[in-house]
Amino acid sequence: MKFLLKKLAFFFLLMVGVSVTAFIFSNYALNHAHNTVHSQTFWNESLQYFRFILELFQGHFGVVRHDGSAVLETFLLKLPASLELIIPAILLAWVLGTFLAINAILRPGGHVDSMTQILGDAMNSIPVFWLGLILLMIFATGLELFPVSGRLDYIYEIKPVTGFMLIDTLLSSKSYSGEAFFNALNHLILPVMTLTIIPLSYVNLQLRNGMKEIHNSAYIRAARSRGMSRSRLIWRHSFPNAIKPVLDGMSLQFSVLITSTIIIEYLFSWPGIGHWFLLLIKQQDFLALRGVVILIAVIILIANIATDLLNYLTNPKLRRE
Amino acid sequence: MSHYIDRFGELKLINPFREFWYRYENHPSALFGLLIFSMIILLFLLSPILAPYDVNHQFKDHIMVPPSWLSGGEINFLLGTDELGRDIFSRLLIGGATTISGAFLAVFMAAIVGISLAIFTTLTGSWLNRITIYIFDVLLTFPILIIALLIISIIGKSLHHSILAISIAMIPHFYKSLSNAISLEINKPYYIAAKLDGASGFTLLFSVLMPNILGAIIIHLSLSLSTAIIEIATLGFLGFGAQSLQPEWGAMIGNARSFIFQAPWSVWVPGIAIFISVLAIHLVSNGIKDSLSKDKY
Amino acid sequence: MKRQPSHSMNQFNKQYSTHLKILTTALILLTLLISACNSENKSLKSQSLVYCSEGSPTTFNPQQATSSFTLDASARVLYNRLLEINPQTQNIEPSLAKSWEISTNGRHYVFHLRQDVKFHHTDYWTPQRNFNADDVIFTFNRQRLNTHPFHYVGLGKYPMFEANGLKELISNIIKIDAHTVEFILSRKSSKFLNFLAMEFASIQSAEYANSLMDKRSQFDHFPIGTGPFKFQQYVPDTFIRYHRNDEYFGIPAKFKTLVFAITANASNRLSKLITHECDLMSQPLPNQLNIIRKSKAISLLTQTGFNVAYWAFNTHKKPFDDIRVRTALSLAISRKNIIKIIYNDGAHIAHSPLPPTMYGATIPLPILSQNRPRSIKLLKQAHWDPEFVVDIWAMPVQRPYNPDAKRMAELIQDDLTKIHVKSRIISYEWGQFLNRLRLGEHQTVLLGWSADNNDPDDFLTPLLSCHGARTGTNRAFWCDPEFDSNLRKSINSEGMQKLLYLKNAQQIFKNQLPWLPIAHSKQFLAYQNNLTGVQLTLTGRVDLSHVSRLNNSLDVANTSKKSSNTKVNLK
Repeated sequence: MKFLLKKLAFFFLLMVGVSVTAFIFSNYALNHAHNTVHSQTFWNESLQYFRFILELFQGHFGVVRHDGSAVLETFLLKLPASLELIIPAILLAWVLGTFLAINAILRPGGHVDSMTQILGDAMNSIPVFWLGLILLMIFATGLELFPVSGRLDYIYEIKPVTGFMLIDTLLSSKSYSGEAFFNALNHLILPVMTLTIIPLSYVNLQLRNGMKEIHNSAYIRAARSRGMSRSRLIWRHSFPNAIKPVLDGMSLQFSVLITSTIIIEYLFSWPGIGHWFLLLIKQQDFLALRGVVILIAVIILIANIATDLLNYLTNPKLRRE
Repeated sequence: MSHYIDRFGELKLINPFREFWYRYENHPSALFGLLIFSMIILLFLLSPILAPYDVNHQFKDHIMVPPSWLSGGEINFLLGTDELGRDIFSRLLIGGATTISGAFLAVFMAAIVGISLAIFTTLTGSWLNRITIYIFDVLLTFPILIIALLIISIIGKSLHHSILAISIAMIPHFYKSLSNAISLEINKPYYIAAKLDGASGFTLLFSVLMPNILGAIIIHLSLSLSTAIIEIATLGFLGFGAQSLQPEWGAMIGNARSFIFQAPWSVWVPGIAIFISVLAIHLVSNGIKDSLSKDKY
Repeated sequence: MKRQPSHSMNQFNKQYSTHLKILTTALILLTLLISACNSENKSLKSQSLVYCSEGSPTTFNPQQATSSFTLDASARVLYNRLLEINPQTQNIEPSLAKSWEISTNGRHYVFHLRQDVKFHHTDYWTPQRNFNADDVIFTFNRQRLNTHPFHYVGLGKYPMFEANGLKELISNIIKIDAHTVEFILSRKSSKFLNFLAMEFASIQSAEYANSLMDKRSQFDHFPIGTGPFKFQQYVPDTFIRYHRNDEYFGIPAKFKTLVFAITANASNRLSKLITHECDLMSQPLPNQLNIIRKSKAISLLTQTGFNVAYWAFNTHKKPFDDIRVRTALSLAISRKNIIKIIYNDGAHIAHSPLPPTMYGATIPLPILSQNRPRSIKLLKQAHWDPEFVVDIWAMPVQRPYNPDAKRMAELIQDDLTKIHVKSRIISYEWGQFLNRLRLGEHQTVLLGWSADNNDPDDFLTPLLSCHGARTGTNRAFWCDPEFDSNLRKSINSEGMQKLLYLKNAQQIFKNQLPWLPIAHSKQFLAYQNNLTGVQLTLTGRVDLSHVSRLNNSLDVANTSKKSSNTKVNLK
């Protein structure tokens, strides 16, 4: 509990910094765009800043210039679309990464292992946008297996209840709701596949190295010589210890994941936060960007707290602090 | 640093550079990466001579010619031409020089600012240190691309602006990693000993601190180089970096997207180039990291 | 330390690897299953038609539209007109008007209207009565009378109605009874019936208008018509969805749902066609044609285009009021290059504003060919300022007459550099682009025009007449009294006389060069092999009301690739 409180304190501290940065950014940007000189006194500007903070607490994050909608509202509308990409990608990356890493231990040097080793190094070096383009060329327009863009074919009228297309199609009362569900899944597969590859290669690499090291360490070998079953060894001993360094790197990976999501949403015309962010940047809508940046920071920090929590729960050493 | 006892029974230290190189030599993938990387650097230094055609010259009679080994290709245009008739091979070479030198520039600028800030704040006052760490922590919550995009939204889209934006976005990363390394070093016994001995600031800095953090600096530099290349290409692809007249690998792919059916090679070729360059740098930086680490290889 | 794995560990190994193999095969099968499930003959997908269009409509009122994609999304989908022109025979046929009489002096037209036509029943409005004369009067008076309560609603302009001179032509419209209407014209006109078949004469509901007096702007955004489809939803830059009008008076459409998937990028449109996300695709790029022709699953519809792409000089701005400047700049451009690169040879060089297949297009006039030395000489004579930067305005969207204005502008820029003229390319979002052009902000602009029918006067009047300069469709703002008088005389004459006046007019154009005519492009439409009934109107408008899909797989297998050329019977 004390741990959580400490993390929340950090969260608020950082959010203060983020809000100040966003405020300064938008002021500077507007001055630059209008070619005006910074003419306000520090006192005036601080007052403005506090008014801005007050508005934030009231839920007013600004207004989008090109269509007049409220920033917070549009952000929450589009967030599920991005989450629908990110969450499956993380889950898949972990599940597949774990499987592949364990396979690397059980059959070191087997063809699965060497293939994933080579691919893993390669995937780290491929720019995401190019990878997405290539996968599109091969699977969508090449083999004609998947659609090229969007979340759902436009012929289906699905009412947005949660914002998650997979859930909304099932909740829909229309006769074609099942058909729409599979259609949504079809649209989801290619972007999620592209998005999974980057964290997958990271998780796989780290987990494989970590588990190999641990698995060859003295105490594991001692346990093995005492006749402990392999599965118990892996799941109860090597794996939890190997996870720790991977989780440490997860917050950096999450940053990379956000960047990749922006790019993939652009590639696949996926109407999520990343796509919207690029649009706002292109339109130089600084006031809206001010609010969006703060909201994005909130999401990132929440994810960081979640990873730290996970780290804490799986790592008894931390718990004793 | 490793040491050995020579035949006279005296303690001898191995020259760190020789040791580093010895360990590096025995790392096969790193050597391979170094080979590729040096070939790439050579190609780009020589690119103005090697490129057969002017980068912006549009061959109006040779639009979207496939690479020479495919049917319809010509040996004059080794890697084919793009949608305006510009030779892809020349654009690849010059564009590579642009992308990679831009990445070098961005990384070195960020390194200089980040490292000097780190040294300055970590060694001097405590509250200054705390505040700077806090400021950079705030900036570190955002991925590099988001910060770069925000900067570009203010200063405008162009290749030079994208290099500047990425450079600024990388400063917090350099600062953080160097700050960690330095605070580790400060608590080392030899550092404290030197300080107690009365070593002047400069001696502390250059003779004691620098050699030990040099490893961290080099590792971070090489990793950042590959990140910078990808970020510059990404900005070019999204349309916020190099504009269509400048040959830059990411912008080439972005433009080629509209002609993906008619000229798929204009998507494949720059992408493979980015891939090879970044892979080479990754292998080299992994090699450096392994060679510098304290573990017995 | 090498150890022999014990028996139990071996077993675990094997178990694990089999589990892994099962998992991977299961994942792959699942993925394939999902994609397969999606392409079967499922209920909604087989009853829907998806058309990949190239732009977002600015309104759903065809009266206020000039862009092809705005017209495509409204006129033939949602509405009908009093008359229609049969695309094959070019004859006028009854539609909402079942018969008509013309007075002997040619100035009185009486139309007898159908009594069984119902307006759309939607969730935002329900009609209480059938179509009648009030609707016809409303439709035309809205465009004709400045005092009409709906005249300034929406975009507030009626470019086609005015450019064709209908404001002056129609002096009065009288309701004789509930199903009879009389039009009184100010003079005899052989083209009046043709006008009534054009998109801007689409009939709208007076009853709906009356119900919206408090919120008139809704009229053009939630449209009501009599056509084969009714409006359901529109998300700008994304899609338009229509549902079949089951009470349609004509042949009902074969699809329950019609969707326009708005995709501005031609490469994305083709991708969507290939992955079966779209059934038809508008305006393939010239350099995509080879791929489409080679594909076994896609057919191509080709048609001679009634259009022109031009580079207009704003004659109201110096130095473009000097004919030497206009000629010099025109002589610097290699149109052959443009045709090759931009159109992939899918167009003809334009030697006149009129497309070559149009009545009255004259070829035996001196042809303008590229002549750089002469350009440079003329510029020197005109005291050209070498520091002057020519603004080339290029539109951001793909149009039937010009698939890539930006690239065309780059090629022109290249040609201008060779005669030492500096230039820069300017572009805005399409709606804003048209607005600024109307205000005359441009120096030069790359634009074009698609004809509505085989009428040269129709073509030249909005583009080059003084009247057009006032309404804004004449982008060069060029007003030459001699040209106008020849045009007027041609409108009022027939046969050889008419051809003579048209020839004079084109000669004057050649001498003055308010624009450089660049090309006349062909029209293309790409679609899935299993569709029939796909057609383009004479003027290149897409008509989806007769499309149907062959559901029988045997039919699909037997359908050989169609590459039909609709030959237009030109009189």
